[in-house]
Amino acid sequence: MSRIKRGIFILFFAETFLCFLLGAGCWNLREPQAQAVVMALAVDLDEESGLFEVVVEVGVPSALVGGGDGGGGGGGGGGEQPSEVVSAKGQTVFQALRRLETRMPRHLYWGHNSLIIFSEKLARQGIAEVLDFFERERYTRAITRPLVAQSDVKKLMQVRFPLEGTAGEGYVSQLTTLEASNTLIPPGDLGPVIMKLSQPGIEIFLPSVRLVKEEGSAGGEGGGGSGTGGEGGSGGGESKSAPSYKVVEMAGGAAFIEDRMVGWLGVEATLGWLWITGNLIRTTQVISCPDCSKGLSIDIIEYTSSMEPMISNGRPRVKVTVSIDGRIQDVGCRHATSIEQKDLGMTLNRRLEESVRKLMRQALEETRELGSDIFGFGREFYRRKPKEWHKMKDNWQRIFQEELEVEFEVEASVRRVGLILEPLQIR
Amino acid sequence: MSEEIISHRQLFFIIYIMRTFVVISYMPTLTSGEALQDAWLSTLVALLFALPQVWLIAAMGAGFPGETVFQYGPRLLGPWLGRLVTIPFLWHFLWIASLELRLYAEVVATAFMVETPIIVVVLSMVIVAAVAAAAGIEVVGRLVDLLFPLFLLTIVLALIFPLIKADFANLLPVLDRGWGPVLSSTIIPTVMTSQIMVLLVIMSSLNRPQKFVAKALGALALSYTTLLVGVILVISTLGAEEGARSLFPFFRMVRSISVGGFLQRVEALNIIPWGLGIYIALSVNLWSGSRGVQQILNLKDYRPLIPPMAVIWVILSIHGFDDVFQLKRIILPKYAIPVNALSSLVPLLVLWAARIGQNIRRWRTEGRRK
Repeated sequence: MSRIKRGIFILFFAETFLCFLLGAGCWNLREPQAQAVVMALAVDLDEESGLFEVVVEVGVPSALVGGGDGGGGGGGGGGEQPSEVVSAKGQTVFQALRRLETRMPRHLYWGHNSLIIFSEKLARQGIAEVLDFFERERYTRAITRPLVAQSDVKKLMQVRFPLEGTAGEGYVSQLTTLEASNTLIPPGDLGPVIMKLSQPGIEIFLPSVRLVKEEGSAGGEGGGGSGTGGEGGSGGGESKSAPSYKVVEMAGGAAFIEDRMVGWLGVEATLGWLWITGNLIRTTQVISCPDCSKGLSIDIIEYTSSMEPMISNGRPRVKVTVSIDGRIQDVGCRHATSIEQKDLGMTLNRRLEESVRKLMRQALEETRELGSDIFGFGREFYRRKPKEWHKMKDNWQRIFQEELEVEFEVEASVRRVGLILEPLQIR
Repeated sequence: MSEEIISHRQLFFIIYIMRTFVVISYMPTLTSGEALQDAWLSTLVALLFALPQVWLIAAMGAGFPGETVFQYGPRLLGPWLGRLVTIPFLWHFLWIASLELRLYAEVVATAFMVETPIIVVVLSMVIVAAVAAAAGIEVVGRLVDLLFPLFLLTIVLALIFPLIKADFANLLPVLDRGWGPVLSSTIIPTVMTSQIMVLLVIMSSLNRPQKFVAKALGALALSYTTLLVGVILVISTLGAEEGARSLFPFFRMVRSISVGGFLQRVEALNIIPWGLGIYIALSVNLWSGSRGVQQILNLKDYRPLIPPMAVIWVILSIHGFDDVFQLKRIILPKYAIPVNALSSLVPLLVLWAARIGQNIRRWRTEGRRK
């Protein structure tokens, strides 16, 4: 018996060993050095054919390493480009991505992609198909940052950030910096976007991006751009155009209804949205002096924001309560000399409250025009007053636009003034 | 009777691991019914429904120290009826384990190794489980002692990181649509509790099984607590609707972890406990199944039965299910309830009836003697 047992054991171990040897993922063996690392993805819609067009930026490792060694001077010199931009079209996003590989010598590796840019055309048509692909595919994930492009996505992908290696890294770095220091965009990754799409009474709001100015070899770049814009199909040629230095601005966002974009919101409305939803991380409010109209900026790091849905006199009503702690960062006018006096502090607080209230009102007005409840007032009703919500949910858009009363209660207190008390005293 | 002894602690770990990896990976209280944001309530209700089942199983095993159900079953019901009633348990071990194995292979094939043939995943898992089963339950017990800390650590980490993104307001409104949807989500977890049926065999290796009943209930309660935390976190990070729509909600939650922009892509936190859990569950099922066959057929040793059983296992989990839709369908109430009732609950109740009848008879004869 024991001999049989030993025989079985040896057989098992031999087989197991063999299995580990063969089965440890070696079916799809892909060496890291033989892959093309995708740094950014943009999706556009070709209106004539109705096909999806994907544009990917692929990092060129040797150029990235060389740039780092060469220091600041070498980076701008533009010998070797840090990345290559390729595009392809397909009936679905996945097909388009697969067709990319017909124009690439290497397999695409998605592990480092952390950015997706939707073109305005696509956003207005609906982004659900792209999101479905993103959720389903195993390489892409919900921690990718979304952007909606106000400019042409191909040009956006060809932007070079002198401080960063590739455009993808540049965009993500700019997004995170902007979020942490001076929030002017709706924050977050695709996770909450997908979540909000599935929840009742809330619409999504994505950050927008656009090119503001061009420097350097703008003429040559423009020519190249139009040449490839003729969609001759040779997508690989685009990356050959001269490196261009443009400034990318991220401010404001795109409001959606379901998965379709309905309009842009400006910086002020976006700030209002951030105040109402409590998504703000840090911001600066500038209050103008009533006497000389010069500015006084207040930095806001701490605040709380909450909304409370209620039904009063049979009408839906939301009370938004914001309480702000501010600190003065600079004082432009000389009238504020008596800053330590209590009554001045009070008027300062009141003016700060009013300026924040104005932003929130602006956000509400703009979104009401679009009919997009990006604040989630409806969701708040669903959560706190589910019975009333079930009566309203079928025509919530109309109720949001016409009936809903929104009350803003803001309480501000400027607690700190920086290292000096009074403004600069000139004789 | 049995030469192999495992401790109470080891069996506690075995039950906890076997139950937890399943419920945490598939989150049946979230995905199988319409409970949506009330899935945490379903979890609590499902625990209430599961406790009596586990008590029935553990108390039955505790009544016959040192014996498996395949030994005391024929004694309670007579040799032929007894065999007839206990054979469905064998089928049950086979069915549950092949289903779990296929689901594991399915997630590996979906999310990690797309081009690897599924049979390689299944085969490698069954082979290691067969080696463990051939080594005996005592070895599996020591293995669990070794692996349990790792299992717990990965699950706890996977439950801590998502806290950063969690929005607990997603749990509102509570009981918006009444108790109906909540109860609809408790059916499958309640039915699948019959996974613990292996206790009827393993408890024969405990030295004092009478003391184990409370611990078995404790292990179950602990595993449902883990599920409760998991469900709450999935709802608050993915949203109730998105969680319910996922094939593997916990996996999706782990995929969306991003701590400070550097701690990302930590799927290992889900796949490590999953792989360990399936390994333990398979070894235990394979051991219990081969013990059962040995005792029903009155063989001397169970070990030679393991290789053929492993082969049947591989074939069943490959050919038993066509596609992922069928896997999802097979755990719908209209299939899962009859299958589980016939293969586990009904035989168990028959055994209980026989045992109670025997006790009553004994009590009567003793009364008469007095």
